Amino acid sequence: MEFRFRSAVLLTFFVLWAVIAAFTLYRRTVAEGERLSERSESFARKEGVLPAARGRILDANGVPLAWTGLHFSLYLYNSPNGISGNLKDFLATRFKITEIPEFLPGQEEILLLDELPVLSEAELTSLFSIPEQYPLLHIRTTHRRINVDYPQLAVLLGECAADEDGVPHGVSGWELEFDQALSGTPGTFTVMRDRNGKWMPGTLKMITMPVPGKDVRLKVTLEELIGKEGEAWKK
Amino acid sequence: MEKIKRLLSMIQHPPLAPLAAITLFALWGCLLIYTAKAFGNNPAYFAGRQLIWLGIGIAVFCITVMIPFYYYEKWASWIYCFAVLVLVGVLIFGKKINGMTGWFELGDDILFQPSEFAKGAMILFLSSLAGKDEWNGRHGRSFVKVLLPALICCGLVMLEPDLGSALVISGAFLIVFFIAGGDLKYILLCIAGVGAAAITFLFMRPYAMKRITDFFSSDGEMWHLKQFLYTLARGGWTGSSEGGALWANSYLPLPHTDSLYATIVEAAGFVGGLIVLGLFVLLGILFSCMAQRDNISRSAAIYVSTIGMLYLMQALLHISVNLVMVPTTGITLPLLSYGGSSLISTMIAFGVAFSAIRSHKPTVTQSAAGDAAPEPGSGSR
Repeated sequence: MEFRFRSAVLLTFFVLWAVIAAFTLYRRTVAEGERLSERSESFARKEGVLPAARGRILDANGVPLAWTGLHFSLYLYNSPNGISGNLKDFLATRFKITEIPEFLPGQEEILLLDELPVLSEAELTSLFSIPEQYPLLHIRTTHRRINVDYPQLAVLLGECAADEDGVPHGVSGWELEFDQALSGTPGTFTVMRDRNGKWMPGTLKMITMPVPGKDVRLKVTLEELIGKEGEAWKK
Repeated sequence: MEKIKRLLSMIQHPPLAPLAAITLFALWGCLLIYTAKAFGNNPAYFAGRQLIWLGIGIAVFCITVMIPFYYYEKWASWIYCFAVLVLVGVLIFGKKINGMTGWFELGDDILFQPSEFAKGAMILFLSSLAGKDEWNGRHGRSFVKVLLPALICCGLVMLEPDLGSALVISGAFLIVFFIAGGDLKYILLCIAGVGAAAITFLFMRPYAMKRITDFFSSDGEMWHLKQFLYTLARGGWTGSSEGGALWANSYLPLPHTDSLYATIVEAAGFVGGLIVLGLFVLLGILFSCMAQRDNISRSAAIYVSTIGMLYLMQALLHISVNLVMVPTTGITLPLLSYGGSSLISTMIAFGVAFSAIRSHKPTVTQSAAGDAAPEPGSGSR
C-alpha cells in the first residue's frame, strides 16, 4: 500500500512538472513566439548589395576592349581545432599548397589562392563543392575588370576600384569618363546569416533587382587605337 | 538435463507490442536527428549511425527480456561492481572530449560512455537491496546500505566531470529510496547533500558557475539561452514556416543531442513539442502501473517503477533546459537524442524492466517443495 502511495506521489510530482513545462512551451512558442521571432529575424537578417553587371567598352566594330569577368579566390577560415591532416593533404594535392600561412591574432580568414583557374562549367561545379567537404575552406567570387591584351591601351581604358559593397567604379580613363553609363544600378537584398556568418539556406530575399550597366561603343576601332593613329590619339 | 530444460522453459519471448512502440519512437528519433543536421554537410551520417545503434539496441532488448529477472537480482551486485570498475577505468584510460573524460574510444569514431550503463546497474543493485525482507527504509543502517553504492557511482561520474549525469544518478537514487519506503528525514538529508555537492562543484568549475549566473542575470540573456528562445519561438503552433529546423541547425550547439527538444519544437511547433512531452509522461505512468502488479516481487516492482520515473525525470530535465526553465546542463532526451551508449543502455534498462514485469513471486508451495532453483522473484512488497 505504501509502495503504491509513494509511487503515486512521485508520479504526481513529475506530472505537475510536465504541466508547468507544457505551459512554458506554450508561452515560448505561441504567446511570446511572434515577438521573439521578430527579434531573431532582426538579429540574423542582414542587408547586402548585389553589384550590377558593369557594361563593356566596345570599339566602333563592337570588339570588346574592357569587360567584367568572374574571379575566384580560395580562403581558409580560422578554427580553434586547427587544420586537419585531411585538409592539408587536400590543399597539397588539389592546389599545390604545401605551406599554410599562420593566422594573426583576431584574423578570421586568410587568402590561400588569389586566382583559381576555372575553365569550364564542370570545373566550376567541382570548385563550389569543396566547402561542402571541407567547411573551413570557402570560395569568394568577385567581379574583376579585364582589359583587351594591348598594354598600350591600358591608360586610355583606365582602371576600376570596388567600393566597400564590392561595386566597381571607374577611377581613371574611359572607365571614369563613362562610369555612369557603365555602372548600372546595384540591387539590394537581405539574407539571414548563421553564427559563422554563412548564409542560411532559403532566407535570401531580393529587395530591388540590379539593373545592368550599358555597353559603351567608341567611335574608333581597335586597329586605329593600337596603330600610329592611336599614338596621336593618346597624346 | 533437467536443469537445462528448466532454464529453457524460463526464457521469455520478447513482448512485441512494447518493442514495436519503443522501436517506432526511436525511429522517429532518427528522423529528428536527420532534421537536426539537415543543413549540415552530411545530414544522413548521424541518422544512419543512430539506426545502427537502434538495431543493436533492439537485439539487446530482446536478449535482456528473455533472461528471467531472478538472474538479474542474483547478479545485481556483480553487475554493479563491474559498472564501478568500468567507471574507474574511464577516468584512467578514457578519452577527453570538451573537458570531460567520460568515453572509451573503441576505434573509428565509436565512443562508449560507461556512465549511461552505470545508471541502470546502480538502480538494479539498489532495487535488489531494497527488495529484501530485512530492508527497512526507516533504519539508518538500511539507508547507508543503499546510499554508499549511489555515492560511489555519483562520485566517480563527478570526477569526469559530468554534472548532468551525476544529477540524473542522484535523482535515480532518490527515486529508489523514496519508492522503497525510505524515511523522509533521510531523503531531505540527501537533497541537502546533493545541493551542497552541486554548489561545491559550481565553485570549482567557473564555466558551470557562469551558466547559473547568466541564467539569473537580469541585464540581458546569455547567448545560448537567447538561441533556445529564438529556436522555440520560430516553431509557433505547428512548426517553422521555412520548414525543418533552420535556426537550430544554424545557431544551437549540438542540435541532435543536448538541444534536440528545441529542434523538435522548431520543426513541429507547440503541437509536436506537446506530443513528445505527453509520450514521456505516458511512459512514466505505464511503467508505474505495470509495477503495481501483484504477481511481481518487491525488487521487480521497485526497479520497474524507478526506471519509468527515471527516464521521465531525465526527459523533463532535458525539456526544462531547452525551454529555458533551468540553467543549461548537458542531458540528452532518452531514446530520441543521438548517442549509441544512451540508446543501448536505455534498451537494456527497458529489457530488464519487461523481464521484471513478467517475473513471478515465489509461491509458498514451491518453496516448501524445496525446488533446486527457485522461481524468479523474491520477497514481498
